[in-house]
Amino acid sequence: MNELELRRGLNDAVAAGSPPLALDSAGMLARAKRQRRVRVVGVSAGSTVAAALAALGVVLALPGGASPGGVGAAGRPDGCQSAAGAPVAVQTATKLGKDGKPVPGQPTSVPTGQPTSVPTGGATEPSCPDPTETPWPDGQTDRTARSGPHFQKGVQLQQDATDLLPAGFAAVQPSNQSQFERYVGQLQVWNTQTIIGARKGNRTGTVLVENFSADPNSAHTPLCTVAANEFAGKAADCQTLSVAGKTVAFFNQPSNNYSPQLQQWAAYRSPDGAITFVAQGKTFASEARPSGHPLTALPYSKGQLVALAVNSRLAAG
Amino acid sequence: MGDRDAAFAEYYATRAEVMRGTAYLLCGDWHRAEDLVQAAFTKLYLAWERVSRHEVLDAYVRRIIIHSYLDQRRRGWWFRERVSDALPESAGRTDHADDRVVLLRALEQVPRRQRAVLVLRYWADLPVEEVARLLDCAPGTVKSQAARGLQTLRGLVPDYLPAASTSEGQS
Repeated sequence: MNELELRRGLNDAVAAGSPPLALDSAGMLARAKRQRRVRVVGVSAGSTVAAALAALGVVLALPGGASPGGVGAAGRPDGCQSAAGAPVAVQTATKLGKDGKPVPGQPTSVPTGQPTSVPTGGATEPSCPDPTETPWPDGQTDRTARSGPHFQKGVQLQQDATDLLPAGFAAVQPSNQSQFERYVGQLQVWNTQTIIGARKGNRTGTVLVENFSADPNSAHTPLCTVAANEFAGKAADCQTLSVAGKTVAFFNQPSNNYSPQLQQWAAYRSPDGAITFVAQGKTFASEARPSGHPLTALPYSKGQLVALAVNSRLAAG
Repeated sequence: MGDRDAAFAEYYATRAEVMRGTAYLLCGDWHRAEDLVQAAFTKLYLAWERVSRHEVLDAYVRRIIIHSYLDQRRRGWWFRERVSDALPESAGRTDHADDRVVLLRALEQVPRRQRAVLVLRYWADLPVEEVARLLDCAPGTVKSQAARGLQTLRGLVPDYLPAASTSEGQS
């Protein structure tokens, strides 16, 4: 493979891809305006309160019931969930190439798969497809569950992982989230995760627990491969261990460039196909606390970590 | 709709697709690519008055996408690559659709900064100097990362040929 072949290959991969319904100009503008309003609300309400709410994962209720979104909350792809009074018009424009220059012969366009464009120059509501066609399950407007049973699973997982910290450790800045991964036929695949700062004295490391509900598409993928892919490890470094008759994949990669906060992780696939990952590292960083003193030793021993992977409290259920 | 909103909407209409392609090649998932693009354009809208010169808009959005992708600390669960199947030890010749999948999976195995360099150089067609500015590194680093990334890809998919190359009989 030379440079030219790679260039062709990348172009081919993108051109032949099947992107989901993308947000059109109207939806994007509405989302951006909502975010600006959230910012204004946050400032007027006091940054401390807003930060505290954000840290707790509280979603501010906006006029019209729109949610502010945020990192990872992209909003419904067509942007039509907003009733926040953001009348916009879909713009049409000349298609530009990757370099930003007009592409000769290209018609005006909006991103593919969008609702019919609205004539420019007039403020109007975006044309919304049938809401029953949303790709997100259970009436959600994006991947993230903000209420309901999946949301509660995240809260519970955080609590369970906190309870299972080794003696002498305290949880700092715990967070959790449940996200819809994909449909496999009618089956929904979900991922639930919690990340906890594990503090001992003035030093803090990271404990991450996540689980995936059963995914028939990966049911036959070797556990070591699944575990390697999850944190960009090398499958050749995988150790398979038996814990109470259950097979656990274990990785020890002190210099994991992909995810430097996580040096060890273990994975277990239950008989129903659900997978649990438990990972740990000596450092902890978050947006609110970008750095700190690292632990001198990992929170769990190898035996403790692999035992956690098969702990039913941390399993998808 | 004000001038600002109209300009923003027009810019989004013309550039979102390309930015989405860049994000897709970085994270390997269209949904997460969409997340990245929407987050980047949202930030652009908030900073529109400041980032007013049209010629720097692309660089601004690309920088947000790239650094959101590279930033380990801000990388949430949704931002991690999911690879459903193992990359073949040695990919055999397959049809073109499989070739695309093989290339994407191989790309996911390339270290993140090398992957970013490959995508910016060979998908976005950016000059070395601009890639260096986006990644906050020296042009020489971009060249070496590109070479290493390409070498990694060759090792992962030694027999890979894109459709165009195959049809043209190139090797």
